Amino acid sequence: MTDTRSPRTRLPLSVWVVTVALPLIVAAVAVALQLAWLPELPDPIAIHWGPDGAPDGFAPAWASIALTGGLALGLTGLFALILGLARGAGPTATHKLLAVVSLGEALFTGVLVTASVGLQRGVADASAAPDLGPWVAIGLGAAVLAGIAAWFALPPAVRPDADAVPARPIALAPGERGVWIATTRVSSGAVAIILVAVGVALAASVFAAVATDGALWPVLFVPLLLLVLVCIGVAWRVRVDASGLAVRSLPLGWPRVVIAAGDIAEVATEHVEPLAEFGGWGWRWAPGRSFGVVTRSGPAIRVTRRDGRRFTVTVDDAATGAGLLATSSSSATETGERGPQTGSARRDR
Amino acid sequence: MLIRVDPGSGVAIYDQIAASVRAAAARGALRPGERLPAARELADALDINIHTVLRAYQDLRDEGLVDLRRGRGAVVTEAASRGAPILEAVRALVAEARNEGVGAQTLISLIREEYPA
Repeated sequence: MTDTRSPRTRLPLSVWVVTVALPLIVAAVAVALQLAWLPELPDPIAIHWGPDGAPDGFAPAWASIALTGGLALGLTGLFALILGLARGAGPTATHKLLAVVSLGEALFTGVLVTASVGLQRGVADASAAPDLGPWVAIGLGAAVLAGIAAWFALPPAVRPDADAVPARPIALAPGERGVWIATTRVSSGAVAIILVAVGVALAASVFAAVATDGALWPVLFVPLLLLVLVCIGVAWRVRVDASGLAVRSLPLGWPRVVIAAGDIAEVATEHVEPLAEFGGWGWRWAPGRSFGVVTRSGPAIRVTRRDGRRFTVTVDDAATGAGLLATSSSSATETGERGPQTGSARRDR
Repeated sequence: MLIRVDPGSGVAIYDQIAASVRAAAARGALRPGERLPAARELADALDINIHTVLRAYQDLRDEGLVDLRRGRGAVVTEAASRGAPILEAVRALVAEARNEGVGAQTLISLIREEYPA
C-alpha cells in the first residue's frame, strides 16, 4: 500500500526499546525470579489479597508465572501493534505516551506479581502470607519514576502540525455571503475494527464481572461508554459560514463544537494521522490544548482560537472550507465582532 | 460544497444557489448519491429565506440533477456528474477569453447563441 501524501518515516529505535524491549526484559527478570523461588513456595500460593490485607484468593504457583509471562507478551504485543499502526513522523507526544505507558505497566505488574510471590517464600500455608499493600505503592512508584525517566530519555516530541499551511482566504464581493458544508465520516473498515475492539472489551469485562461473582460489575460501563463514543464519533457535519465554524455529530447533532468567527486567531490546513497525532478516531483530545474530530488520515482544517486552544477536523476539500473560514474570521475581526452574530434579522426574498 | 450568494449581483439568489450546486457537481466536489444540505440549514447559514433555497432545489430537480424525496432531502443523481468531462474545456475557454480580453458577459452571450435553451 502506498500513500503519497504522508511518506512513512521510521520511529527512532529508542521508542521501540522503551515500548517493547525494556518491558520484555522486566517480564523475563520477573519470571526468572519466580522460577528460582519455586522450591520455597507453599502450594497453592496466595494470588489475591482482600481489602483487609489478608489473602483471599489462591492458585498453584505456576499460575502466577504464567500470568506474568502472558500479560507481558500480550500487553507488550498490543502496545507494539498500536505503535506500528500509528504512522507519521515521530515520535509525537502520543508515540512517547504509548512507549512510557507500556514500560510503566510492565514494571507495575512485574514488581507486584513478583513481590506477591517473593513474600510467600518459606511460608508453610499461603493463608498466612503477609500483606501485599506496601508493594502496590512501591510498584506504582517504580512505574511512575521509570515512566518519567523514559519520557525525558526519549527524543523530544515532534510537533505533528509542522506541515500546517495557513489558509488562503476566499475573496467575497461586498455583501456576498458564502457557506461551506461537508460531511466527514470514519470509513466502514475502521468502524469494523473499532467495533471488534469494543467487542473484545465487552467480552473481557463480562468475564471479569462473572469471574468475580459480580463484584466487578461496574467494569461493564467501560464497553458501554466506548460504544456510545463510537456511535457519536462516526459521522460529522462540518459547516463554515459568516458566523464561524460548526461541527456537529450526526445524526443527533450532539456533541457539537462551535467556534465563533470572532474567536478565531488562525486557520490552517494540515495533514492528520489519526493514531500518531490523536491516538485514534472520533472525538479526540491531543496533548497541547488541542481537540479534534478525526475520521481518517488526510487533509484537515485546523483552527487556533485567540486564547491559544486548537481544534482540528479532518474533512475532504479542507482547503476550501479553511479558506472561507479565514474570510469569515478576518471580516469578523474588521467589524470588531466577538461571538456569534446576534440580532441579524436581515432576510432576502 | 461551497455555496456563494451575492444579493447585489442582480442574479436571483435561487439561481446563484443552483449554479453553485451545478458547479460543485461538475467539479466532482459533489458525487452522485450525496445529499445536499438541508434547506433550513442553508437558509440559516446564508441568512436567506428557506423558500429561496427550496426554489433552487426544485429547479435542480427539474433539470434532473437531484432527486427530491420527502424525508430524504435532495440527493444528487448520476446526471449531475455529466459536466465533469467538459470542465477542462471550459477552463481552457475561460483562459482564452481572458487572454483575448473578452468579458464574462460577452462570453456567456456567445455560449447562449451557440447553445440556445
